[in-house]
Amino acid sequence: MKIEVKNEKTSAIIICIIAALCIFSLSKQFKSMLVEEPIYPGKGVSEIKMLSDYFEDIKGTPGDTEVYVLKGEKPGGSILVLGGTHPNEPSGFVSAILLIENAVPEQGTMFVVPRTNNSGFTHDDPQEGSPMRFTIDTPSGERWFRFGSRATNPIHQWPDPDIYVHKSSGQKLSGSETRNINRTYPGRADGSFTEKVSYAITEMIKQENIDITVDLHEASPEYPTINAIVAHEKAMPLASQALINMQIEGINISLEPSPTNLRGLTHRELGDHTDTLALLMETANPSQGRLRGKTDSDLVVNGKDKFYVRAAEHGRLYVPFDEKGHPLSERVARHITGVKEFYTVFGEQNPDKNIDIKGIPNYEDMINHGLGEYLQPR
Amino acid sequence: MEIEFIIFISMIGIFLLFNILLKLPVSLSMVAGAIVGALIGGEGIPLRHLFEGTFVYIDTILIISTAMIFMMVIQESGLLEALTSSIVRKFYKSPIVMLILLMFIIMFPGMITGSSTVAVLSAGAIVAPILIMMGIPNPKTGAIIAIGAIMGMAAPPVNIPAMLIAGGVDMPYIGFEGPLLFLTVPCAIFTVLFLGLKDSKKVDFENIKGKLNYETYNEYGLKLYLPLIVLVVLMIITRAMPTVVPNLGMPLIFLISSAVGIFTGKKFNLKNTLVESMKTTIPVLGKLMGVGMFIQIMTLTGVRGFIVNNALNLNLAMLYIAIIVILPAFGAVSSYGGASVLGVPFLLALLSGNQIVTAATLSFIASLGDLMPPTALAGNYSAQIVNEKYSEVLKFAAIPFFVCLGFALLCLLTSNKLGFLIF
Amino acid sequence: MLYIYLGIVLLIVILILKNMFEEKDIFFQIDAALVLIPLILRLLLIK
Repeated sequence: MKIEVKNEKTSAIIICIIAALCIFSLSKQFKSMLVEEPIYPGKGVSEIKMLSDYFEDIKGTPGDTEVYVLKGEKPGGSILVLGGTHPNEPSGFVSAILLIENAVPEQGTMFVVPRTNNSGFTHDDPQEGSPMRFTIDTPSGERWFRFGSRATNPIHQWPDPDIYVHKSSGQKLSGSETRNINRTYPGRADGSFTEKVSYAITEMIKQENIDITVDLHEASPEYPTINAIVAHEKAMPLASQALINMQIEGINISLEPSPTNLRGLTHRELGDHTDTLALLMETANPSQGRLRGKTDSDLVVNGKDKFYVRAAEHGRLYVPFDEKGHPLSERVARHITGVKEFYTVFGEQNPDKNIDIKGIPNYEDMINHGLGEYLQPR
Repeated sequence: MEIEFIIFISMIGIFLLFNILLKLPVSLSMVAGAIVGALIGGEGIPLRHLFEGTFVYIDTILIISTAMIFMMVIQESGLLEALTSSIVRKFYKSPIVMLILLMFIIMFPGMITGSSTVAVLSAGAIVAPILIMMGIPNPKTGAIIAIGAIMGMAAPPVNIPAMLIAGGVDMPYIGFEGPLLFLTVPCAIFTVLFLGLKDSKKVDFENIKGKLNYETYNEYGLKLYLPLIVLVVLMIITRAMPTVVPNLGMPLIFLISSAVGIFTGKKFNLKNTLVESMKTTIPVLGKLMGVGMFIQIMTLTGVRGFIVNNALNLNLAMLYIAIIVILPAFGAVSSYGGASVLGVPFLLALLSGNQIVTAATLSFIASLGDLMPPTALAGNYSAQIVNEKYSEVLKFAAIPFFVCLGFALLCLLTSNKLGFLIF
Repeated sequence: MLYIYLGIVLLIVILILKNMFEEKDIFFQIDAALVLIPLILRLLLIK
């Protein structure tokens, strides 16, 4: 059907004005994602560095981000925790913040990067219907966090190539993976925006001689690698002992070797290109899955979803899923416990590089009291 | 009744009401469906979600717009006509060879770019007049081009749905060439011979030869072909040597080739050509925007999860049926969307088969979705090129479509025996 | 490359606007506006 107007200029102007109003309102909403959620450094934080301290090129760019250094009195080993590699996997991000605000090292050093792909926090993936933010109740009030995208914001790196070729291996992936930081390691000094950020991370590990690197992730419940530790072959002895300890604590978790033919990921490239013991952890996040129902902040935090319950009944999932779901508190508790086990076992295996950190809540406390207790605004 | 089901049928209902009864354009009908879905889902009118959904298609907008500019430029410069004439003159003696050759020409840009729209708008536009000249009726020509473009999109080296499915399960995009060629080449040859051979045999080629126009070529010589040569060369070298040649992307490659076309043939009014090419593109782009909003609201309200769940929670026999029905049907919204939303869970549900063959076949089935109305990018543009209504083109595309689907189902069922295709 | 692509977006925005002001069909004008909104948001590097 056609409806012809008498004066096309007038109607065009009216439609343009409406479009302009839409653009104005949309700009305000999209730009609100640039505002960072507050992080309140705890008494364990001895220094706040920037990632650009390790690679000058990213200084002042949206890829630059804080590196929280928690240094104990006594010298010992060092561990790096990467949160927010994928900003749509909130348990890694919240776990990193919880460590920054609670951990107090007595021996050794903990480095925490809560927003590894800082740019990914500034937008949401189209057609995913994600909430821009989610909130956690704490005794001193509600606290908000951004729920971002799996990839770098296209306004910081665009256009995508048709095929993304991982430079050092020649591996080909779909073009959009060029903005997935966990496909770009070890990064390149003269590479894309995202490759520069991963290069800075690699540089930090080299310059600080970091012993253990743990990259915190989440996966959708229908994905096979879930509730798991993925370890580089060099980190296998450490990971297998930590796994046994976690299982003794009653945490259901598996261990997978880092595949040698899947390139650009932290557990492969950081293990190959640096001396660090590279590990990655996955928890079950229904808010990023394809089977999920209504998508909102509630799903992110409470992790309850009727469609996942049904899919579990049909044997389609790789994690148990009942009406209780997989709340964020449980997912964060798993990550935090994993991190704790890694540095503890590392200390046992390398007594000269012991790491001793106080103040980190244990698994049961986080499950029973929720996260609010440990994320109080100050 | 579940709320997600109510939202789903309301969205579809409003779309059909606006589109079929009120005769409003597809774009506005989809926007209306999306808004009603959001309202019933208790989201109000979420402006941010509505427009966020459209951003999936930003790159597609650029590709379609610049491809259209390129097509208009080569039409105006006389390249299209000259090329048609020379192909017919060289191969008119054997219709079978000529048909198969033309089918591969249609497929080529799709193979390189992974986009059926690019294939239709570049090679499809060149081949269409030849097929018509060979005596194949317009709607059949449209069907050949649409399916050829889809075969090109699914054929290696670049198959974006396969990359999306592989990426979704962290499988490298390696070893797909064999299975994808095995799927696409026989289907392409079958389609072009099934639709074209009978009509083209009846035609007296000696007679046609006399009608061909060689004047433009005689006037400008090889220079006339320069835009096409630049297009093909740039497409190939950016793919073959991604580490040496910077990634230009299809929009820029189309624009560079168009710019070359300004100087290599008949003179034409550039400004009018640019404006005119955008005029034919805007309604299709509008439709894409509607689709983007529709999917975003489906995800937001849980309708997407409802569909995926109902497709997955079936026994094995029903699962296969769901794959060949729902996966291409999702192409009505977007074939890339189908691959990513449904292709990944389907692959995970079929872990017992050969993973690469299964993923390749699923990507092939998802690609066929590009024929599904209302978006039907391949179909719509093919219809536009042959000046036919899309429904006419679709009629002729139906049999090859089902044959392709049947072949794909066979490959899925026997994926474990097809492992030899991976090299 | 970013700026070249923003240039392409600008070209398309101008061509859409030109068409919008010359076309009498109101639905065509609305379609044009639907496409313009995301393109302008990208051009301004907002989304």
